[in-house]
Amino acid sequence: MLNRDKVIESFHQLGFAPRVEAFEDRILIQKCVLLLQLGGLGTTYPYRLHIRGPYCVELNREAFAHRAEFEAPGQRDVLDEKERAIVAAFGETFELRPNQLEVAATYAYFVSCDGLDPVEAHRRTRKLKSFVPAAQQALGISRAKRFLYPPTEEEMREMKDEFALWQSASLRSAGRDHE
Amino acid sequence: MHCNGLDGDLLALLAESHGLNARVFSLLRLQLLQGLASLGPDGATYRELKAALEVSDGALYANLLALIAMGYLESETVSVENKELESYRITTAGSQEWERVRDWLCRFCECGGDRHAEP
Repeated sequence: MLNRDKVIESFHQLGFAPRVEAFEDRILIQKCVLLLQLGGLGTTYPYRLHIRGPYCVELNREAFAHRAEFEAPGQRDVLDEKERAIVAAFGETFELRPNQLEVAATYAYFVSCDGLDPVEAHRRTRKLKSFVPAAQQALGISRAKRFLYPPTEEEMREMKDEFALWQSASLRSAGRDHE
Repeated sequence: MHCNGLDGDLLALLAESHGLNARVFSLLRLQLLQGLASLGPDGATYRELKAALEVSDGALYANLLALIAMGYLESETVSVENKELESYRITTAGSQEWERVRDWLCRFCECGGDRHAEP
């Protein structure tokens, strides 16, 4: 019950009112909940890897059993401040598009649930979602990284050091073009 | 004396196999039944099945049609990002047959598949 209330309040906050009967909206429900859960929403839906990628049978059953609640999501007052911030960050990061969310959720599942390193997770995601155009695959993975695995301050420092030469070269070049 | 294999249970198990539909015993058909049974009424699209199972269009389509003809799968057209896609899901008969096959295979491997036994 708490799981469902949290999902419904999240959908309310996102302005997402899925039509449970629609295949496309059921994809969105599945992938939104997994990404929010991995982001720290505090739900405990048991996702497993299926032929379609990460999928929760119980969530699908719940969506059909409580269809009216899913289709007209309302305020439930079950999310704390931190959880509301997670939902807000999700809304700022992702568009509610099936391909983007499928790729992002699959990548996130491989990293967070299967413990794969980013390179292997990337490879498997591209294979399992090979029907998604390459540009959308890249976008989905990039958004998942931004939402779930932001770089640490140390990584940011290392990146700045690594790219400093290119950056100054490009600034010099831009300066010359301007003259 | 250590005996494995041909005891009464195995003979009963072999006799039981006559009640199964032998036409589902191909790798791809078993993969399709298992994959779609675990997804229940939601099913999966053709492109998802093709990507996950890594098979040719010809093999996938022919086997999907065969399972539909047996009454184990059904298809419908769904829309994803403005694209019309064919989606497949398992029927009640398909779920029941898969349960029987899975149960039989598990017991068969336990009973007659002792790979650690001495030759």
